Amino acid sequence: MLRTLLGRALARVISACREKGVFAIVQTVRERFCESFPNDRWGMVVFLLTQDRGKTMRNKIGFLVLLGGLVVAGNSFAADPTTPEMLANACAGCHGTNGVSVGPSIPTLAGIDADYFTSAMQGYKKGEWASTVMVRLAKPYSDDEITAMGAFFAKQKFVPANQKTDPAKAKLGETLHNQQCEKCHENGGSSGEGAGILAGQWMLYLHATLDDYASGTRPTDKKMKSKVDAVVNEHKDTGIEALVHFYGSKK
Amino acid sequence: MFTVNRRNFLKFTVATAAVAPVVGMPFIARGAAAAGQKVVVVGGGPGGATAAKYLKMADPNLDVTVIEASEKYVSCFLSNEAVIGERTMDSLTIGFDDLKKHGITVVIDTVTGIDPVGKTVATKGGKTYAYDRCIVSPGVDFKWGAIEGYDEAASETIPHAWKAGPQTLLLKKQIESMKDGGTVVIVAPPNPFRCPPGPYERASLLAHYFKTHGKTKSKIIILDPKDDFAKKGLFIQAWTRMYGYGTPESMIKWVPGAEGGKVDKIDPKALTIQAQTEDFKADVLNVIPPQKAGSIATAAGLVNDKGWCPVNQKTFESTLQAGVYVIGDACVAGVMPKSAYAANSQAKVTAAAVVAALAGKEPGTPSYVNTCYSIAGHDYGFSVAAVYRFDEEKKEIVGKAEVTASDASPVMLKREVSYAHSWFDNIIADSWK
Ligand SMILES: Cc1cc2nc3c(=O)[nH]c(=O)nc-3n(C[C@H](O)[C@H](O)[C@H](O)COP(=O)(O)OP(=O)(O)OC[C@H]3O[C@@H](n4cnc5c(N)ncnc54)[C@H](O)[C@@H]3O)c2cc1C
Repeated sequence: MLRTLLGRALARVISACREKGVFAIVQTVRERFCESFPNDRWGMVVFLLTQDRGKTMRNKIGFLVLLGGLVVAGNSFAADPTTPEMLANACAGCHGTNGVSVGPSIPTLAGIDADYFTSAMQGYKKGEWASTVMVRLAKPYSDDEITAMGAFFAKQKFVPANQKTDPAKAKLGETLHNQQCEKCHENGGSSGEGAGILAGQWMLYLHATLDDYASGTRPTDKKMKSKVDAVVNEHKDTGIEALVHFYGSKK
Repeated sequence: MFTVNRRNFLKFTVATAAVAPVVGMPFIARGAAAAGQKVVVVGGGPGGATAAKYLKMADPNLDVTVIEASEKYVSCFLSNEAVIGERTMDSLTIGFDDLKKHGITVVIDTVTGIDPVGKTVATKGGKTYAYDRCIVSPGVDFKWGAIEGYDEAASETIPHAWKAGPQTLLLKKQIESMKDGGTVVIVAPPNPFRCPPGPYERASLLAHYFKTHGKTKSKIIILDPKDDFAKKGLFIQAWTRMYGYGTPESMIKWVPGAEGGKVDKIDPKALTIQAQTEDFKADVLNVIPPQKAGSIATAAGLVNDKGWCPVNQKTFESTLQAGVYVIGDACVAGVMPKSAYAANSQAKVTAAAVVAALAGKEPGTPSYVNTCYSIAGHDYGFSVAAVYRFDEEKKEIVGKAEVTASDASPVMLKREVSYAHSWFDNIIADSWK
């Protein structure tokens, strides 16, 4: 069983090495062996020790490539990529376990649209989005890490916030939402491509965000800006309040 | 031509094994540990509670026991608000029932010893608990007597309020009964200590309290052995904006080490303080003593000569006792500060490392976060925040902490207060619920 696995792994490395150029070899060795022995570097050592070395030219080349690859890999790869869980769990101190926030001014990330997560993090990272801490916390993450975190949070279950709302405000909010927002923030703000979850989101957070859109400290596309402006021009802060209560009332 | 024989093959293998820890293999702990493997967690603070919860989340088969000395945990974080009556003690008090819902056993008892060879933990209650891995998060203890005249007995009338509970209430009572024009002296500790911005936040909130309670002639003097402190620029800016700092009427005076701020001796009866160049008299005296790792760490042979626990900062396994991991305030964690957020973040790293170790796997690459808010007055907050990484060459946690911009708008400063409060809600839920 083990022999078959090992043999197959070796064959894959050799064929991949033939197909790809020299520079791809290191990567190939990593990938192929990671697939074959996903959990354990000792699998690699076992493989080396049990290898039928030098009998055929094919095996000999494969073996040298493997060792060379390992040595080079040792120098060129600093560390394994951090797992999405590891990255995302570190956010939970503020954003809640699995991204479900229980603090009214900090948004729930669970269930977030992965693209929206990325655009938010990139917006913070570049300092284009108004923020207090997020500009500092987004900066150190690589683009790949941001993508990985987005995918992680997108998979988590959204839990609507438990908060008090004013029915009259929510009613006006519903009207405004249907007039201005529903087209992009579909289903009463519970979905929408590239958009955050509004329905059941924390109201304090929503209010701050809408204020930032209105003041221009969080840039957005022309369409969104014109919609926010329409609400503010007609209703001032009452309009924003109303929208916030509408979304907050959704369970 | 180079031929592979057993000898040079072995050489290569050794070389490979040596670089193996940094070879790019996905050391994801996929398989679960053998059912019933035991992890004993000492201390149910943010470090211990989070570690227990995230161990269970990663591998429900683990048998996880938390041993905690107190029936309930009382949070230091946001306790400065409780000192000035803006928060109840109740809101700082957390039980362990929700933690139990994760299938974690919580034992109320005091750990008296850890045997890393026999792999057991002994308690005051006379019980022994066997473990496969032990995680220790005991917080800090004080170096009583480091300041002459200030020992545990003296703390019954002169609060440190650096462990929350009766101490917080004692300071609160003394502040409330102090007459207008009185002087509070805060004796700040040397580095490293729990919550680096804490003494300065406390001074700010006391000034805020006096200002809003008709005691505007009162003063707060901070006697400090240090010449610098966390978020100093932002604190001084806040004090200047709100409490007259830099004028003769300033409510807050900070005496750095260079100006004789180091305190050698106090008289707990007369409330006099002998600092290096001057003597002071207090109406309310708050001494925050020099600190070390919680005493169980010393008893278990986990501390260095400075009283803190050196660890492999990638996993938090003690460098002194194999199989024992130390997190939170007690450990030496590179440039990470001693905060509840740091303890919570370290706990997740160590939980993942313990799960990997129990499954016979290499630890993954860690990532850590800390954010610490300080509230300096009404609608006035700011923070320090950082993402930390493990530097494989230095073998240390590294990261660049950045503070709130000094030109942050009033809207943003106000938001930081509400983020501080929401952070509190989330850190409690993430650690204990
Ligand atoms: C005034 C103040 C304000 C603060 N504000 C903030 C803030 O805003 N943000 C922030 O992140 N941090 C803040 N902190 C810091 C924070 O409180 C600590 O960093 C944090 O509590 C450390 O967690 P820990 O798990 O290491 O230790 P602890 O919280 O001290 O928990 C240790 C636990 O272990 C138990 N224990 C100890 N020894 C034993 C034993 N032998 N047997 C059984 N149980 C034992 C103790 O009873 C305790 O419950 C503040 C601290 C202070 C003093």
